[in-house]
Amino acid sequence: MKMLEVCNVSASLGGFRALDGVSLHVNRGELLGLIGTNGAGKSTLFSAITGYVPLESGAILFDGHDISGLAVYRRVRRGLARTFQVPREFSQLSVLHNMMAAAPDLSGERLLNLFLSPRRVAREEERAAERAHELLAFLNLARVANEPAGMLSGGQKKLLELGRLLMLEPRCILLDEPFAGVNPVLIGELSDRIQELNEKGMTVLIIEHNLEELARIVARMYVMDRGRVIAEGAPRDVLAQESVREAYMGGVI
Amino acid sequence: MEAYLIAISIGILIYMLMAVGLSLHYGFTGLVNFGHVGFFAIGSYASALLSMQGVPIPLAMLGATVLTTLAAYPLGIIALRLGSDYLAIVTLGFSESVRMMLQTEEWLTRGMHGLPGIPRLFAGWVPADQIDFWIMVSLLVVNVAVFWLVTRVIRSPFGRVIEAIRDNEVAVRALGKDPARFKTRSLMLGAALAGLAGAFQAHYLTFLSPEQFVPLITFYIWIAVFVGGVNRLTGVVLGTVILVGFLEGSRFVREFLGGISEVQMASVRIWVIGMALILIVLYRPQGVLGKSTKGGQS
Repeated sequence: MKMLEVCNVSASLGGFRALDGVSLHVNRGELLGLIGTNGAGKSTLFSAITGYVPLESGAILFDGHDISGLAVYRRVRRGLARTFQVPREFSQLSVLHNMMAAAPDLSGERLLNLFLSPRRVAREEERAAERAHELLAFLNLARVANEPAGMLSGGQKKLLELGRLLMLEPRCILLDEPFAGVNPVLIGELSDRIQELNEKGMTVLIIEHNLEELARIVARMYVMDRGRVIAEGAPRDVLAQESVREAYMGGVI
Repeated sequence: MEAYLIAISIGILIYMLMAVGLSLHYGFTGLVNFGHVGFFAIGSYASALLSMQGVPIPLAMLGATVLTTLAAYPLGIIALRLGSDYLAIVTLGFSESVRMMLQTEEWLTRGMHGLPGIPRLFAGWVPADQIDFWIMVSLLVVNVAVFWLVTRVIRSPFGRVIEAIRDNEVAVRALGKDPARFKTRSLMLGAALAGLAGAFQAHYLTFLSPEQFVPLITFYIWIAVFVGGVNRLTGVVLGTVILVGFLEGSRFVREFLGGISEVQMASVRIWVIGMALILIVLYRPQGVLGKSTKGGQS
């Protein structure tokens, strides 16, 4: 039932205790929200879950297995993938090649195969390109497929991040502010896309400051403040809680 | 004059092999390798020593290339877990350690006395006065083959991942790939090319000594790569030609001006190379003829 479980996790960034005994879980097939003020530890939690930040204590369970000690790329191969708050595109590669760089298990990534089985490499490349084009169309990026990714706008880079993530065909995705910098018209469409993915069975955890949009699509959310989880429940109930109002917006909602 | 042109061409082609290797390291993978001459040295001495033990020259050269490739592996394992600036220091230290070893292990390398009497490539196969010509031709063939091979690697999925590592290594990990594996492969492949260049050098000069492998050579190659454009293979060709043109041309400048000693001219050469490196890194980090990459922040 539980896809991802964070058990009493603590972690520090340069001496600052960014996560202080965080526990939460994401159910299989759930679309879950994570909110909190800037500096509450949300992105650090993503980094701890995916292996970029080492844990001081606690454990991360994915699909029932303890993955706390695995390297980043090994967690990704198990189907747990993330985007970054600040997009990390491959700036000199084209948008299409950014996507294709994410294709899993290409035999052409091994040097010997390039010369031993060139046909297989070519066939896989074709399939990866096809899949990339599909996703670029899905994300309204088809028009810029051959542009260097460094030339994209901030919003387009966020879409590209999501696209690259989908190339991995992950089972569980962690989205760090997917709507930030995306133009308002596109936000609605983007959240529809995220919902679509979720309906097809993908487990999704979203950090987002756009509470209105988030509350529209998630059934449950967690609230973090100063490295701890301070509330959990349906968006309406959570946002009504006094402690959340105080922590999150200084009580102005 | 013809002999001189052949000698220059051989110099260009040997440097070109090394420059293609460095371009793979720095231009395509983002590895700051300041110890390229170390691989060149290993290839030179290995091929020389093997052939002096009676191994046929082509096999000795092949063996030297393989050995250089393998020498890059442990360096990769240690160094590629470090950030790029640390890698620069570690590789520089590596090449200097290699040079010190060549100086001190006299039982193997004859140390500072140098290693004379290395068999010449093609000796006995072609008339003695045509040997240089055929060395040039074989280098040309090897360069064309290497060019084809490296182009193929760069345009492959492997090439895409190393370029992705150069642009953003953190994101590559987020895509389920292990950057260390790709960086090690890139380091080994580039090292192999430098090793092969060294093998040619050994069987062309027939004399090796440790002072042929000072860090200055590494920086010559950096200049060639920078001038041509860091991630354009065709640029590397042009960059090497311009570099050797400069190094040779400075010799003529001395003849014209007169009154400048060879020692002074050598200092001027080093000064120009150093200034050029600093200015290029400051103003054209993608290389003089390189692709401009606007918006390439990260």
